[in-house]
Amino acid sequence: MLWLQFMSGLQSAAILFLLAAGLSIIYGVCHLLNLAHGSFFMLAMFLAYSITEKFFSNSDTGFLVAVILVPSLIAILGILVEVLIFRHLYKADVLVQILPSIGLIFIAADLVRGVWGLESRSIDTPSWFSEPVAVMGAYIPGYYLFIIGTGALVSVLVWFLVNRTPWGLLIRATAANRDAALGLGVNVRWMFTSVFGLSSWLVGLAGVLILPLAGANPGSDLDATVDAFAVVVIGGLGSIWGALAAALLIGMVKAFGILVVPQFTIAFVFILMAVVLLVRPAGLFGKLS
Amino acid sequence: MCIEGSRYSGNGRSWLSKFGCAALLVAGLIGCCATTIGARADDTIKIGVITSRTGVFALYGTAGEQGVRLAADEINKSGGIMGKQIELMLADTNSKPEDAGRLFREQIAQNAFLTIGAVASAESAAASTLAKEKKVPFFTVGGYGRFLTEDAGHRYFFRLAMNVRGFYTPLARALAKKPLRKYCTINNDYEFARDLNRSTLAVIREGAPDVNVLDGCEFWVPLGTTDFASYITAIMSKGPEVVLFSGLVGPSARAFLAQAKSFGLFKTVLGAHASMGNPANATGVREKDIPDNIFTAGDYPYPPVDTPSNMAFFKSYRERWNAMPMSESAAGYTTMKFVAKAIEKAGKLDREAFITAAEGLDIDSPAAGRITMRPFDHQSTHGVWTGNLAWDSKDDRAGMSNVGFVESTEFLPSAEEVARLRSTASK
Repeated sequence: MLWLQFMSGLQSAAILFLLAAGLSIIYGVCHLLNLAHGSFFMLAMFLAYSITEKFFSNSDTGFLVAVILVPSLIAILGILVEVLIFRHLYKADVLVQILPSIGLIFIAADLVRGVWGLESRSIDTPSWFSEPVAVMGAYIPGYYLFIIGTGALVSVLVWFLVNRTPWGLLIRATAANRDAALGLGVNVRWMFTSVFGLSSWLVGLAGVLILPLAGANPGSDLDATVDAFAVVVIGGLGSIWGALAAALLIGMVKAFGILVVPQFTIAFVFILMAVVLLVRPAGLFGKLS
Repeated sequence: MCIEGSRYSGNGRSWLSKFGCAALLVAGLIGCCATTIGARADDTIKIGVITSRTGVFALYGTAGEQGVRLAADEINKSGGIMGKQIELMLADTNSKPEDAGRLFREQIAQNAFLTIGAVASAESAAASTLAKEKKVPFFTVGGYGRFLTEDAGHRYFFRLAMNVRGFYTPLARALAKKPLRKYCTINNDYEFARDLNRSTLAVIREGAPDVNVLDGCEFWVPLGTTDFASYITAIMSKGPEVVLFSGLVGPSARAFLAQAKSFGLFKTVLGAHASMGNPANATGVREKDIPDNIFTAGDYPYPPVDTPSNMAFFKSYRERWNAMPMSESAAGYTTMKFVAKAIEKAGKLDREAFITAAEGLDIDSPAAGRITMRPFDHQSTHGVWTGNLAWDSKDDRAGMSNVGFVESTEFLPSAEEVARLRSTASK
């Protein structure tokens, strides 16, 4: 039974990681707080719904197409937003940086409302995962294992990308010292744009994966932003491993906390945040700048 | 802050800080937006409408607002009230009680005759306090909390919509009749849900005093939660016979059902959600996620009740709004029609005369038939439908099966009970 709690905690962690990693990376490299992060997530969910349900009559093929297409679409959107809006704001005051992202939140929310209305939308879990899988004597839905597996795979891929590729080297250089990197001939502009692309891709994937479970709702953007910020605050802004560690921590605290105190689950994440910030004000893996 | 601009604004970037200031101004204006719809003339009757158009209760609020506006348009087309056109003043509370109070206050200041609130219970409560203070009638469309017309009810607060007791009382009595004693509860953590859970269990225990909520099996999840995996596994580990989840708001309820399906929770356990027969609470539920053993109730069931008045309402609403009507739509529609009728009966635009005319007045509601405004608590006699959660294939959404109708006399408190509740409340 505890094993099942652990697995459900892992599933939460996988989604939280996919959600928050991008936010953290953008801050780490571009020093930009993208408040509209959750809006990308919400758009991804609704797009995935339309692709799967409307164009493919809710078949497994539809889901597959959505998994491949939607993160790419959101990545393109992220790049567009960076090029058209955020690129001009890197040297501006933090408050001026934030305003356009707030504007984006409103635009995205109204767009979603206009196109999809206010009702919740979701899709069936793909039939490949409909059978529960026996793990250590307990049955866990196949789809949850799929999410955990995908989350693990993606975090390995991201690690590889950041630590073993030339691009990753340049990203780390830019994050460490933007001006020095610029001086050494790094195309910092392209770094920023590609980081936005990657971050949006991750958040788009999170949206597609969570759709059959959570459903796309008009309030999904703000819920996702709050969750993502909780993860980066605990993990440390700018640190991907912080995001992973924090996602795991939050997932486990929620999964096991409800066994201990089911009455006040609302407090768990915030208590965790308070404790972490008291001990390490910059987050678990963050650096005070 | 804005005027000095950013430190980097010297070299041609000053337009950006001006842009920032302008954006701030616009954002601020958006924040207190209010619109007016209808004829703009002195010869109009101004009706305030506050609605939770954004925020957690957006679906509910919008449905209510659309019902009110549909009715207002119909009334205006057939000559208005006493020959005058209705002018609606609309404002968005963003699902926040404090904004509900502020906007109602503004509408009173702008000479609204009364205000209709397509808002949830907490917002209705905030408005209720103000209604009493300013002696301006307030009608709730989306606030089901029973205290609104009972303990905290007063002369200036009205409800055509159903009292929440309709949702849980027949349901709880049906549950008490079953030989099932081990319960788990899971609800969103807000006051309405806490009261609903408490009241439901109280009624169940009237019929079955040994019903037991299992240790550590009473879950309160934050509003907006859609990740229920850990809760479901915890519930399954306790081995309950019934799971009560009435206090889960639409999106949470939908997510809970979908995830419960993956874990097979309802293969062995009975479920009960007192208001999934309210279409907004069953939003997005998919056919595959509906087990055959979820007890529920609703005040605007799907498939839609087949009466001429409901079919006409259903058709006009869909044509006008390109959306499916919800309970709040019907309640908003009925409320606007009732207000018009009461003003006509009073014969003049006087609030006290209006209230006297409204008490005891009846009105036809689209699905629930003729309902009456009880004079002693200003609650209508709107009944409830009970049944099992089921798929309505014709309308392509979740609805109910095995439907039975229960009259309000079965669940509304008597005049004596209301008086007693109000006197204990004021101590």
